[in-house]
Amino acid sequence: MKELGIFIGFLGIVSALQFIFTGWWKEGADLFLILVASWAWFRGWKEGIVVGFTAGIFKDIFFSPLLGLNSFSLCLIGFLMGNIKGEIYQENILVFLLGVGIASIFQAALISFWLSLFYQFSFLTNFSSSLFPSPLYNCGICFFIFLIKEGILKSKL
Amino acid sequence: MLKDTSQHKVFLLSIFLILSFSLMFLSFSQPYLLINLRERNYFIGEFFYSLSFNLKMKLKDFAESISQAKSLQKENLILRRKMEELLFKEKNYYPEIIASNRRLKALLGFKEKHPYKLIPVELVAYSPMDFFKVIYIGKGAKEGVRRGMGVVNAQGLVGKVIEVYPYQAKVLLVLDERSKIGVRVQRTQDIGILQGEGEKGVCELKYLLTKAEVKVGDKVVTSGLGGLFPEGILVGYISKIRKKPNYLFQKIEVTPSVDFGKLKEFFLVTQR
Repeated sequence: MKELGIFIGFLGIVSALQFIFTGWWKEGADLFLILVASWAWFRGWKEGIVVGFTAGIFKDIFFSPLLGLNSFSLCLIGFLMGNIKGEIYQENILVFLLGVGIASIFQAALISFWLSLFYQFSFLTNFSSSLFPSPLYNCGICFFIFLIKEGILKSKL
Repeated sequence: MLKDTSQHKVFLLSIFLILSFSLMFLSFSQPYLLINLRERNYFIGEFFYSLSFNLKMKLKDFAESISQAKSLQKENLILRRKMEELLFKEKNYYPEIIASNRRLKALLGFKEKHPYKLIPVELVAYSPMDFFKVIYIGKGAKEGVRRGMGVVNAQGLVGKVIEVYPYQAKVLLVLDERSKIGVRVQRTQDIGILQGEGEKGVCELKYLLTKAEVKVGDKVVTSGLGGLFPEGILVGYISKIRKKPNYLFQKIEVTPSVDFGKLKEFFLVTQR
């Protein structure tokens, strides 16, 4: 119940920040992806799927022309990030950042694919345009999230 | 045990993926479902966009006031004040006035040239997803904005309104790959459909017969057919033509007349 409250709180903050920042810059970090990737990394694949789906639906309602477009990719990213975490050395920040970078590119590829399928968007043009700078911003923010999380864990110990 | 866990994982993931795909299919087959949902519950978005806009302006003012205060400390009190005032006017105030004067003159010129009903409006935010060439403008249903209205500036056609909220509206730019507009080549009067090409920053003029004698540099304007946009609004210029023998249509690239990197003030167009 506590976790649910924390997630709703984070989702609210992320949505508010995403709204605010889109008024400032054309291209920026995908805060929803950061939330899902971080949550799945620290809490596992099961929560990763649910959090990915919920955050994706939220993003779809406000920012996307299709319901399910982001929930599909974010739920898959939540699952993958949660699974990788169990297989490798979780405390390594570089692995986490690499995971977020790959997840950003993976999401761009998935969305480009669905858009090319539903709206005949050009897959290659859209995919290549989203390779920079969004994944870099995402990794940059995740770097600080990882440090904060590590700091909290150490202070508890 | 391991097999069970893997099966469990795949099963759970599949449920959510199938659900997402079903939602995608549903909202694609019934596009107004999501639009209506968003238009009814958009107070959150409007609140944050307005907050963002005001915050941006206040931070800008704050940063400017700090930089002025710093420079004031370095100079003689009386001379410095006079110099600062003159320098400030010379560097910031006058160019700004001249620039806004030019811009307003251009807008006024545009307004006089076109006998449409024009509603002035400002840019509020960009689309948060790079894939979509969409912007948000600062007027909505309460100010008479309706779905399908054309959006123009002094340079030409910017796009059309696709969603309307009480105090804001979403505009699909002509560059977006979902955008399809009825156009006419002004010199030859050939009619075609102009579709955006997204990230490429250009549009494609479709369904123009190979025998049509268009040239690079020809003006492309709205055809007025379909009743969505008034006739004769400049959309762009033909920048590339590719004709292939035995093909019914030629492939034409159109560069929009609007500079989409510097969008600021627009007019909403309605037929009189």
